[in-house]
Amino acid sequence: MRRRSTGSGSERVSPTRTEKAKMPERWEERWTLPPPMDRGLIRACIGLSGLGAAILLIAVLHDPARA
Amino acid sequence: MNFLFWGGLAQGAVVFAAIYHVVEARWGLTIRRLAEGMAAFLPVSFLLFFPLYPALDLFFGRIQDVNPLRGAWFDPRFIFVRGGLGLGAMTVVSLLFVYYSLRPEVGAALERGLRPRRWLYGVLAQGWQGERLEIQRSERGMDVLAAGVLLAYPITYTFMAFDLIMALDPFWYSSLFGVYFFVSSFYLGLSGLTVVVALLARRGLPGIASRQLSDLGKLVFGFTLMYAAMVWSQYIVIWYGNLPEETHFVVLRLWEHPWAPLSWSALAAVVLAPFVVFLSRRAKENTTIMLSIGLLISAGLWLERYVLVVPSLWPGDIAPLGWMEIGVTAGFLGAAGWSYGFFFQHFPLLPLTPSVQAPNPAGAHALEKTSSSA
Repeated sequence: MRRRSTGSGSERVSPTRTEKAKMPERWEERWTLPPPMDRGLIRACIGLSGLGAAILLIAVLHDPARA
Repeated sequence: MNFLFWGGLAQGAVVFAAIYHVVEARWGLTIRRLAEGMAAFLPVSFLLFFPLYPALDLFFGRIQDVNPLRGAWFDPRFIFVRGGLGLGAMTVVSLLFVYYSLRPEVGAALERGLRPRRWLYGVLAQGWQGERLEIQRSERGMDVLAAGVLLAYPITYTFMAFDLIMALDPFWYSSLFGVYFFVSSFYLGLSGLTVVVALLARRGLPGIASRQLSDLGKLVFGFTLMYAAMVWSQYIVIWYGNLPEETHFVVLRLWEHPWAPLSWSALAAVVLAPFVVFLSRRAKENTTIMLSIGLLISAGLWLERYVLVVPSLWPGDIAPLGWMEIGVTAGFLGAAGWSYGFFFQHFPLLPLTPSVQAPNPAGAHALEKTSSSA
């Protein structure tokens, strides 16, 4: 166990808290981590941006102050 | 308004990565890479600046009629050219900074056959000179470009604040407004980063534990106070001066219908709620609370941008906040999400640089020691 100063004394910090922050041991393994967004989510984002672009176009034609 | 919000979010996150590099921080290497990923939206944001020209031409033409004394500085073409040049330079410097961060790991991955030689990797690793040399070169490049990002950011964002927000009101001016805007954009970048980090921490991303969350929470807490100080500095000078050409901008937004409820809600979401919640250490280590506060600050800053821009353009008694505004915001969210997803489909979540993380077992061991002692 380590101790960390907190100003009003000290607090025990479980080793597992830093243990969880460990990086993969081999540098190559970092390339194999799954990306934060899967392809389905990216496709949904593309769809959303297309929808937004269409609405933006309507807004520009209808009322530029709201665009 | 959405252009200012989403562009500011991405740029604020890249500025965070640049500061992280300049101060040689070690407390959250994964967080640095997550911040760098937001640079993927900057080219999109730059392209979205060009469709603004017809709107600038329309609104500034009207404003020039109301106040002809403003002169050539507020000519829409001049605003557009200087805005485009500033934003273009800022985008290039930011992307080069991220390029130098990515180059060593892309080159090393190609050299070891970890990745197929696609065009993007080929461009990034062009003229590859070997791992050791490239890591040194990359760090030198990042040193220079991080300083470039940190110098260009306040200048560009000050001009953006003056030209795209302040100048929409024919008579209002404030020399402090530029500082207010680039500080709030940085705060916005931090809140966006908090959302991403909290989401990924829930999925068990390596390199993010309660300690990193807590440190990020402390940074957000600090910038809550910084943002409040900026609002207060802006307010106190206008109140103390009591000049009608300065007070009307604040009075319209804080005391008059329909903008007052929106302004006070934004202030509560951006300052009050994060300040109270982040007084607790446990709250900063809890991913659900971090996610909620990150979303709340982001929503509050969206509302703040709305209240800064729209009252200058909208003469009606009811605030225009309907399906059009929500749809356009959703579109920007989609574009930001798509560019972020594209970045992490192609690049690893954990960075190789700085050189304490040499790509061999000894280097990996050094990294662990560093991250656990940060």
